[in-house]
Amino acid sequence: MRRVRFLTATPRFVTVLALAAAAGCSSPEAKEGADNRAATTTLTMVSAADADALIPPLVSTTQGKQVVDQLFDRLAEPVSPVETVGDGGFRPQLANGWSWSPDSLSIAFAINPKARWHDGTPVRAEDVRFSFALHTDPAVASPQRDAFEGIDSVTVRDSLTAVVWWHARHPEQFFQLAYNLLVMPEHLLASIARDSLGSSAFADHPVGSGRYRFERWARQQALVLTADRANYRGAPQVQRLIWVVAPDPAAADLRLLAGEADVLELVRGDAYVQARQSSRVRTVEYPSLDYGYLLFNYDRAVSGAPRLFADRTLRVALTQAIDRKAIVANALDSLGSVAMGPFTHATAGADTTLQQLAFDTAAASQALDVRGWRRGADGLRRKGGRVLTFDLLFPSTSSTRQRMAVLLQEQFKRIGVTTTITTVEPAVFGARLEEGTFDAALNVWRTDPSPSTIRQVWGSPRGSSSGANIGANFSRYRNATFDARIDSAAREFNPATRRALFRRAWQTIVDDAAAVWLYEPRNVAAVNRRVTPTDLRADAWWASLSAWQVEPTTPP
Amino acid sequence: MTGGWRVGYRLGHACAVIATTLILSFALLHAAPGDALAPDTAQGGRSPAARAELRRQRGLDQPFAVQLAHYLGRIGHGDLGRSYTDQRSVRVAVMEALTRTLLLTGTGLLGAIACGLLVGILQGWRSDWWLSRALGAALTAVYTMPEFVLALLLLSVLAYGTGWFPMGGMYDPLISVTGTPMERLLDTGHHLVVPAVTLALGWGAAVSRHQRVALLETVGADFMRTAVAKGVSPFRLLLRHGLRPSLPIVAAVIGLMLPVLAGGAVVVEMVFGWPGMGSLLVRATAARDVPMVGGAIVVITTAVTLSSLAIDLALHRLDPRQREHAR
Repeated sequence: MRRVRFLTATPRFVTVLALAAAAGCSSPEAKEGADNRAATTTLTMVSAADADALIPPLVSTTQGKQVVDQLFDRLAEPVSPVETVGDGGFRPQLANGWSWSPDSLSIAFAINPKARWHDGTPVRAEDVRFSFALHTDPAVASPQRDAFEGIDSVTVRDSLTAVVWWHARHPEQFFQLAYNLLVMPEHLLASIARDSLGSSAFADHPVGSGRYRFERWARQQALVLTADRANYRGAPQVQRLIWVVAPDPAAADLRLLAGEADVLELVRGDAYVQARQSSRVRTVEYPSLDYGYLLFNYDRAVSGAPRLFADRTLRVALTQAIDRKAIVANALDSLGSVAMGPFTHATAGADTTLQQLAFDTAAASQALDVRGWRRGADGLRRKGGRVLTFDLLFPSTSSTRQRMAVLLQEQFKRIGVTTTITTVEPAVFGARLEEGTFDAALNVWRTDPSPSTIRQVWGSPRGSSSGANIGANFSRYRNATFDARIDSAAREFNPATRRALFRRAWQTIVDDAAAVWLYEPRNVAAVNRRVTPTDLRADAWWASLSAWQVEPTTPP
Repeated sequence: MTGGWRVGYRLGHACAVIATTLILSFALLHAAPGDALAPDTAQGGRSPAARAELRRQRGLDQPFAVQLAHYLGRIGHGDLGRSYTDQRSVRVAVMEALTRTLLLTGTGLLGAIACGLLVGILQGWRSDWWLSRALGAALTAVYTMPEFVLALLLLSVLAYGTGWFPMGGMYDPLISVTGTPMERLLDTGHHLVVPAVTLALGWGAAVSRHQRVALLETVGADFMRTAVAKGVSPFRLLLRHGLRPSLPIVAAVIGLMLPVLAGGAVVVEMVFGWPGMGSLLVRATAARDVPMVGGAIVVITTAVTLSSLAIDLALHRLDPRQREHAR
């Protein structure tokens, strides 16, 4: 027994001995390093992918956003839950305060005079003007560029006052600017050509004004930020933030369960069960802005019909043929609920009382009969000799959608509709959705905190049918009534009226069966028990990382 | 053919292989469905105008022949370009990944050679011993096991089960920023153990099987019986007469592993989060990152063709029959 214990302890003992010897050999540096670690509260996030960029206008992934939100500041910070109308849902961040012009076409932001970049240079109004120019410069090709549509310019009144000008007033003016604009240092970025920002030295060693400063980034391995102790907003609770990359999901789970990482932002399936059973880890639920749906290609000729899915009766029949509750329970168990429409429970003003199209296979069959799609002896529906059949496309990386596709296929079969299933790489999935070379597809959309942005996905494409600018409306869905109702809601300032108008617009698209609203995943994170998260926002769970409570760890 | 001509001929051959591989990979990536600038189907991402601007900046709006000419011209001048996905210099990214991969696969290969040769010799020399049989059975099990199963098994047992070793990555991020150079070195060594053992076991099984067969053939040869009759000691018999004739076969097997040495062990790298060439290529191909794929191919093809050349020359030296054939 003693021998077994000795053997078990040996490798760790040897490693500790070697580390201690090494630390002892190089004393001053080693002591400093050991002191540094002993005094540190560290939070380690494990992620499937690395950040794509650390310059805000170039960031397009969630991992990148998590990091830049710690490094850079906004003029004002949204509080949870994010309120998009007016400025009531925001508190000062880089700006001490702000004042609206009498006509509401401009807002003057007073920059906090104590704010400093991590290199010690004071933050100035000129930085705000420069950051806006950078985000909206076509040469930068920023993914966030469209978010600033409607903002005319940013001017500098004095070194600490930046004035933002709009073409027209609207309820989400403040949200539009404050939520989307991260302020960057002009003195370090102005000399870099706009089309080579991503390859500049700044991209590898960013300098911000946030409560964390950049420390180290080993690509595809780990990214380390350290607390800015002299920050104008005060030193953060957590002294070091680390993101480690674990591309294999099973390995990522094991890292968390073994205590090598503290946070895994999303757990599903077996990982969820393991996290629930673990004595080291606990699960934390937070609101979701994602919804999964079956989208139809309105412009595609399917089953011999030139625009098969433009027929509302057919879409309603297909929706009624699906037992969404059973499908969601089967594919997600308790980690999801049936989607209500193109919004989620966390969307501002979400209305859970919308009338839904009920599961009713008899009504679905009857509707298809009426439209001339009649069942033959083989059980398949035909019209003019053509079988009612279409293809379901989804990306190979989603096991949830794979399960859903199989279940949908089975349920469509019950009413005599045949479907084929095609799985493709994500890069191919995106290209095919944009090109319109699909019949129907299973997609997940992450909504913005602003309900108005629904127009990106469901607003009628601008331009003629062929070559129209579809934006993210991969369905090519067109409904003038819906467009008008969303526009009315988006322009409304009164909160109660606004909520009622959005409800009316959502009911319109649900009644129209624009898509089959399938599921709304429950976001569950797994965190080490020594960590107490606070304020997990639906749009950015990482927004308050600096305020999380973390017990100090023993250095490795 | 003299040695100098032989090397020159093979180098020319290597250049042709590299050029052909580059053109083929570029054409295949170009023809493959999907797009490096496909829209983000979950959040929208860049607008069509922004994507069009990026296409222009990257020259993707040019005809295929023009793109290919620019691509080959750049590589010919030693400029591997910048990654589409993270804007990094491809040369820097590939050399970093190559160094990490060589550390992993090199350690794995050394372990495989040591373990494979020892077990193979034991099995070939003392085939009726229980330990030989047991080791043979164990290595056969490892040999038939899919690599990802072996990787996850070792990860679960050696890292998660015992807690002796880290769960993945190349180092502890905290030690990487606060540790001394010696601590960082030891930490990397600590992280290297389980992935290297995974590779060593998988490859060692292959080496041992070939070593065993080669040695069994040699043991039964006439010259071995003659050496025994002459009273040569068993150790000398094994080392001088038994092993030497079997080495070319084993060297050829090791040569077959060389592409992995530079190209990366994709499965092991992905499971252990080791940021080497294999995972770099998988990511770059999935993202249609043409410059990154091209840079990786240049480096891998060069490494593989040069190491094949080195193996050929080694075989030429080890096996007198090849020298005779060359004359």
